[in-house]
Amino acid sequence: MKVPMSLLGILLILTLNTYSNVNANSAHPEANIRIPKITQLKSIPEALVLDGKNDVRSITVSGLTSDGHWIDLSKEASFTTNDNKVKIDNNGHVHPVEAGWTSIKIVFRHHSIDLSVNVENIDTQPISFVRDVMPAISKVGCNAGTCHGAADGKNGFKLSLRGYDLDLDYQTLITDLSGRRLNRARPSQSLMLLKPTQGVPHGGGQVLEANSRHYKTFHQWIVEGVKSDVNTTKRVSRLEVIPNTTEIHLPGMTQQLIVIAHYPDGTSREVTSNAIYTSTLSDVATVSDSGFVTAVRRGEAVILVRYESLYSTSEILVIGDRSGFKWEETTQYNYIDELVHDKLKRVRILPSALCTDAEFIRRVYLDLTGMPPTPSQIQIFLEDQTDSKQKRDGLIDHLIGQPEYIEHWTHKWADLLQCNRKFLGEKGVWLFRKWIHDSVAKNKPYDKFVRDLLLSSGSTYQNPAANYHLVTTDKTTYQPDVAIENATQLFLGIRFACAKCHDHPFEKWTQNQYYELGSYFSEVSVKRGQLPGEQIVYNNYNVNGGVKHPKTGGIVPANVPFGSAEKIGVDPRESVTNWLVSKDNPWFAKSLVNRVWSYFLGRGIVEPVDDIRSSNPPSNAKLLEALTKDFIESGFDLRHLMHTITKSRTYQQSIKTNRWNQEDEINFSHAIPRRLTAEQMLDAVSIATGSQPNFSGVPEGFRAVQLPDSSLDDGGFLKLFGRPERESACECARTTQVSLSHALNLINGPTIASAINDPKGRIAQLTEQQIDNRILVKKIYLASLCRTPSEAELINAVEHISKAESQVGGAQDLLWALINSPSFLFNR
Amino acid sequence: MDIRSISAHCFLWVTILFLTISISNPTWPNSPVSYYQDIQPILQRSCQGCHQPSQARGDLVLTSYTDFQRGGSEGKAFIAGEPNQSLVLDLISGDPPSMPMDSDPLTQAEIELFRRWIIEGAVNDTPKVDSDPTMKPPQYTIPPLISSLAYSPNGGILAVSGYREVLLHKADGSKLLTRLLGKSDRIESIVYGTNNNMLVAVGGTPARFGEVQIWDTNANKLIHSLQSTFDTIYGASLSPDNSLLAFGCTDETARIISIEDQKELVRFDNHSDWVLGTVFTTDGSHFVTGARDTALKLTEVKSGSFVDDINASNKGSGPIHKIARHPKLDQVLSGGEDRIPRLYRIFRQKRRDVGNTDFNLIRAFERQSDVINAIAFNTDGSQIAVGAVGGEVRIYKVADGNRIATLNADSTAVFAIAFHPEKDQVATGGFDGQIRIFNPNTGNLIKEFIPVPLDSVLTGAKKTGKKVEIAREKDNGVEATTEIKLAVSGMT
Repeated sequence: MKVPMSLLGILLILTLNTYSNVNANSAHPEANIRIPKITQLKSIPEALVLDGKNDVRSITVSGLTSDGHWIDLSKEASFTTNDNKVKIDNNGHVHPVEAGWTSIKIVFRHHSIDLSVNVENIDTQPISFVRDVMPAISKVGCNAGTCHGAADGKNGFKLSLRGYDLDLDYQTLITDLSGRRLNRARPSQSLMLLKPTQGVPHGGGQVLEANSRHYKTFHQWIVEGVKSDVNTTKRVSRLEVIPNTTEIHLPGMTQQLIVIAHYPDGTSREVTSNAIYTSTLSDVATVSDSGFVTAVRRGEAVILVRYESLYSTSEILVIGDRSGFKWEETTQYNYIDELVHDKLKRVRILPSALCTDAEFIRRVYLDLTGMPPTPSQIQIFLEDQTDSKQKRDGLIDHLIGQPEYIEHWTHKWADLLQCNRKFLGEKGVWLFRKWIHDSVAKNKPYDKFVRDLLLSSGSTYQNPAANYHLVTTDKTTYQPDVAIENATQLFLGIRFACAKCHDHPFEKWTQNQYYELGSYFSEVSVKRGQLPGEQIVYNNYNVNGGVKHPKTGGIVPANVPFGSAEKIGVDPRESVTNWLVSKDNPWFAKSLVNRVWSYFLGRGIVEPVDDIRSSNPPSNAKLLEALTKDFIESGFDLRHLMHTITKSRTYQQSIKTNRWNQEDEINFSHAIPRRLTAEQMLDAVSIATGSQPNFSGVPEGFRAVQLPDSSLDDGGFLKLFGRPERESACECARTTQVSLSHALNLINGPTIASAINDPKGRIAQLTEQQIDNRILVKKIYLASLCRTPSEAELINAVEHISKAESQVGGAQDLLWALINSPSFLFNR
Repeated sequence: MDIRSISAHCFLWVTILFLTISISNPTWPNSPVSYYQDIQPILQRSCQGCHQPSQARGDLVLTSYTDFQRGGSEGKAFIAGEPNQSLVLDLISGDPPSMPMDSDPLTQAEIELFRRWIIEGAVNDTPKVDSDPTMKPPQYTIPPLISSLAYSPNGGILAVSGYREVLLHKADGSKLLTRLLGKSDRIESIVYGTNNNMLVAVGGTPARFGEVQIWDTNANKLIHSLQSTFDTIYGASLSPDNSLLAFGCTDETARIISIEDQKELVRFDNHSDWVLGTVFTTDGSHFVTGARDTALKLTEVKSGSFVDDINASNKGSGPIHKIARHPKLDQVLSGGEDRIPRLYRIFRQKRRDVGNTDFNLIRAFERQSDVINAIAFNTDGSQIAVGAVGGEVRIYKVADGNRIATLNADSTAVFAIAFHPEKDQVATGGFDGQIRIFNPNTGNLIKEFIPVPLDSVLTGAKKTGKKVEIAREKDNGVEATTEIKLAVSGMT
């Protein structure tokens, strides 16, 4: 077949067109988001100061849409300057060219703003090991935990983890193995350049491109003589992320972050391209290597920004499409509700309605006393005709301080303080628990409680608080390092343990601080007492005042990691205790209120509750602040704190969600169903079935929550349902997840079956009276689910019992079914 | 639509398809895939980390075409012209591909390059490297660091390590006599034979190869070059009769070769980290090795079998960087990361006890202010010198461990020390690249000089203060070097 040339020509053009179109499209993948009408433009920062040739900065530009959202236009806006004092490159970076004042015109559509720029000087500085080389090593990733930052390094080359030890890293690069890693005669042939570029085989692969920005930094540093400024140049002291909190309207929209490092000498530099970024929730927002954030779906994510040893964050709120949302004014019982609602308004969420009185009484009993209410308590409450809010407040006032309340919170503290016969011996366990019990009964102020524990001395039998120190004692050797790890996690919510071997990788804590803190406890000693199992905790002033630093081998003088501790008396523990429980300690009260909050709301404002750090910000910072302030002002009154929380509307919300809050998990817009703890479950089963569990070694009638430690159990039920072994100060030692083995145990296990079948139990007693099936069903519902059945439930249940072989059998079936339902297993 | 228009239609699409392909792949199929330009860079970037001579996973080495062709434990890597029978394609494609292990898969385009290269015959187009390039003396703009020093036994010459060379100076530092040019970037250790005629330099180029150079110092001629292992070689020592050479390697072995025929006689693999030092015993029957694994080990030369752990390495001694033997006695001095020089007797006099006491220890000297990188005995064994990071060298009396003198030997770190065999002189070298000769008894600096000629064009003007003088001195040095002979290694 012959084809005219003209046809071929057309084809060619067609083809070329297709080809070039494809290309054009792929170059703008994000172009599908249309930028709406903009009413106003702003830039951050609003002015620039450039100090030196290498001081290159970038600018973020935002536009206000007509519906009130700020959106990032940094990539879309144009930047121009009318003189040559600065140069703006294609990436929008501003480079200084000539000293003096100038301005940059930022234009988007018909809006424009002027940004003033002061080029202070255009001097060049030699490459700094501290400020240029080390950050580049971190950014390339050489000193990551999986590479040469590992405890043993990699393949004979070991750097400090994420560069916390500048001196060591300089020595390793420069003097280790007679300077093997650099080549003065031929800088480009230096091993430290050949390895990462895979110029010689490198197990870690190619991590650096030859002639890339970081490559040039390393190369220039070698050319300039690998000079160290470790002793003369201060590291970054503050990290600023712009913006530190921002809303992104819709998925697909973006935000460029800018990171500024501030130094103690007052200078600063932009380090956006050398900072290291991670998103806490990458399904909400992703972040690129250069700090470019892209929203993925509605939600809240935190971008962690690391530069050298410092962390900062940028909180990203992706609003998503909330068209139709309108805030409805909701009653507020106290300041908690006000602050929760402030956040809800911002994230466009409507809170749930209040829970019913029946839901409330079960919830508040479980939370304050660890037990569900009995049928008569429920009946009295539900039949009370007082205004619901007043009635609820009254119940809270009644419950706080009751014997069951005291048992429940004693149990909680016994968990955290590791009341465990493995450490304390059998007698010690009972005595320590009794001491905690008395403190809870007296409502001992929390600061006094902690002070009594930390400063306790003497016989563990005569002064049971001293048992606290046995937990961190190995046989009779007191371990100051374990002691401070324990104390900081328990009382400050800080996990210091990482700093034992290296500076904390996610926080500012250093290895030195770890040992400085440990030194306060270095004189604590333990010896055997005269009675069997008795131990004596005392201060041995003969030992050298401080712990040894593992690296230098020298004694580390005691010091606190933040604030300052006044020296008081002869016992160094007094100084550190005063500092720890002080009102001015920003962590002490805060970590406690956060912990207590989580017991009532199912989630800490900071989560996990005992891992407070700048890289793990609170979901509602103002709420946490207000609770902390209130707690301190109340004189560290734990009961006051619980009153405040339980009397808030926020605590009393329903678990039922609405269209606007169904996805919310962190803003306390609805109640979160929580599985009963192991002890709550066993005690609730006991109330529902009227059958007492059987614990050997304790008197009959003992409830699970009253057991002194985890050596006593009811056939392994408590262990299975997550009772902690009490060998760790971590809140995570207790688990309340739901698994198949739990379900199987509840369905088939001996604990539930024998409780239901108990010949002295509830079913046996009720059926003996030969009562009407309708009443029987109501009573079973009330005893198990703490509510009366609905009409439909009632009819169903009565029908089942009447058809059963016997009333007993039918009633047992019903109770079994109810115990296995979520309404029973969860605190809702 | 009639038949004809359908076929025209088909033709149109086929043409578009063809044109699209040819436009988006403008080089295909006209220019063949190059091993050297296309394949080798991918291997280098993504594969060589695990498939290299010093760490051949799956017995596969991918640093040269021949090794690639040979393949590994699973067989030949590729068969020219047979993409379907080429293992490499199976391994790099697939979802997910099994190679590269634990890292990003190759792109489709890269896999396609491999396929086409194999279809096209898997040709090796690596350019032939001139096998015997003229060795040019290196030009220096700043002094290279000094990693080793040695005096000739008669005290006439001081041998100094440079970049790709050993420089022979008159022992008083007055003149550069000869430059022994080799192919190793680094010289880690220099030893003289006792007869003044032989100099052995070991070193290599980091992460590439290790080398032993045996020089005739009468003719200033390289007699033998032996490549060994895939990284630099450390801590050379000669047996008392000059017949054997021991050295340590980064593959955690220590080896002994015969000087005569360079045959390997012993390969000792009892260490668990790089071996950085070796010494023979006074009678040459045994040798001692010191390593980064903190151990000092004694081995019999004849059998190559391990005899004893000399130090109790669990007693706090860190990685050992250097060892030296007492010139007359079977005693060995070690120094390293824990900063304490320790003198041990080599042969035990007591039975080992359960507590693993450090009973061979004769003396632990004063703890240095920093990590030890250089140690040396003087000729009669009465003094030792210890050089550390920080640049300090301290001289101690062996008999009582007292410090005799402290020398400010380097701006940053000392890597090499040598005592003059006859005079009361000790030479030091290190990071700043300057040789300093001191009186070990008084600590007085006798002479200070840069052992390499510096390129005046590239330095000069920028230098200020003291460095200007150094540069001038060096300019004189350059003039002086025009007269000296260049010893070029005739390499194969």
